[in-house]
Formats: sequence, structure tokens, C-alpha cells
Amino acid sequence: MAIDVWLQKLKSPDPAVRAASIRELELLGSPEALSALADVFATDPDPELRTMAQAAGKMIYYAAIRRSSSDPGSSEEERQRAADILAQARAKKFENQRKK
Amino acid sequence: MDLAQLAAQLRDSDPRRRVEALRILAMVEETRALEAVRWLYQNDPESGVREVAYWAGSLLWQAQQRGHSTELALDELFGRKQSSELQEQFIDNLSFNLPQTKNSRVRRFAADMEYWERLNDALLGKPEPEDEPPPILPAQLIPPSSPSASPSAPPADDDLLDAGLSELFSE
Repeated sequence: MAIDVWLQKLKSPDPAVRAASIRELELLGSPEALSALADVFATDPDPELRTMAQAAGKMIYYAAIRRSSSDPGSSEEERQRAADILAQARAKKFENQRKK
Repeated sequence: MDLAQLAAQLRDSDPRRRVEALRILAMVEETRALEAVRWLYQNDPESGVREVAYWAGSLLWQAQQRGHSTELALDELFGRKQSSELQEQFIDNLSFNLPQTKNSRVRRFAADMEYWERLNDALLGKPEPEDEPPPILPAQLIPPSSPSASPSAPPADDDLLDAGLSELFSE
């Protein structure tokens, strides 16, 4: 997982390191961090860190919802069309190289 | 990860995955999941999962009681459903010194910038002193990686569910 370094830091015995990791995970915005942040939220002995983890988790979650609602993704038809265009472009390039 | 994925994870055959989903739902105060969490509290075969569902459900219910909802939070965060009247009122109340600016698009852009700055401050700033920190998950509910807290083990505190909120789930 790309965020393993930060997830490891969340397990540090030093609260300052855990706090820095929470802030950085929020900046990274990866939904993969939600589970680890939820662990902090549920079990960390430091109330301030639990609050921080919750705020970071909410931001990541809401941003993920927004991304998924504003980007429905491409349809199968659109992907096929893109693949056809790429194939035609590749064929044309190959043809041009052959003529030279 | 969105609500549909978390709802699917609540049905995972692995109780640890169900607990993971419950913790995330509680953290993000996903009030739309309250019914699903209630169902899990009442029906999950694992007592450990039921108790985490109780903890998560209590937090979601408290969030709902204070007027929080995921939809509202999203609207406030991204301004998708603000009425034009509210937007105008908001713009009028801003402290920008732009009365001479005739171009309404410039004014609106400046207002948007200040809106996002304020929102950012509100979201990233420290909590007010009167804010309660989120309650910690009781140690006996921490599942299931440690051998002493197996999800199938009986709860350490039999009175936990009589702490005053269990009626929320028995309606």
C-alpha cells in the first residue's frame, strides 16, 4: 500500500508522531487510510488525537463521496471507442513508418 | 470508499471486516447507516461485533440528535444545494471591500474564496474548548486481533448494554 509509511507512524508510541501522521494522511486524502484512522478514533488513549483522526477521516470520506458522485466513470461504449481510436492511430503511425 | 462499499463490508463473512466498517461509519458519522448498524446490533452472530455496533450506533444516534447528517455535511462542504437566496445573503455579509466592483462574477469569485478559507479554518482549526472529545471505544470491545478480545468471547462487562442507550435499538 502506498501509504504504509504513514500507517506505520500511526502506531508510534509518540503522540506527536501519530499526530503528524494523521495530518499527512489527511493531506494525502487516500480512502485507504480510513480504516487506520478509524482505529485511532476508536482506541487511541489521547482524546485530541481521536478528534484529529475523526476530522481527517471525515474530510477523506466526504472528498471520496464527492469524487465518486462527480466522476461517474466512462461507459463500456466510451472505453471501446477510445480503444478503437488508439488502434487506428497506432495503425496509421505504423503505416507512415513503413512508407518511410 | 463510499456508503455502498461500507454497507457491503457490513455483510462480510469476516467479523473483523464488519468491525472495521462499523468503526469507519462511526468515525465519519455516516448517519445514513444508522438503520444498518441497528440491524447488526440486533442480529449479528458475533457478540463482539454486536457490541461495536452498539458503540457505533450510539455515536451515530448522538450525531443525528445534534442535527448532523451526511447529506448536510456534504452540502456545507461542497455547497451543492445552497439556495440562491442563501448565497446572496452570504455574499452580502462578507467582509470584502468590493462595493465598487461592478462585475458580479468577480464579487462571487472573491466570496467563494473567502467561503472556502473560512470553511477550511472551521474544519482544520482546533475544536472549541466546550467540545467533547469523541468517546473511546471501551477496551473490552477492541476486537479481534488480540487473543484476549476474540469476537466470539463473551463481553467482559455484562452491564454494558444497560448503560442507557440500548432503548435506541429496541424501538
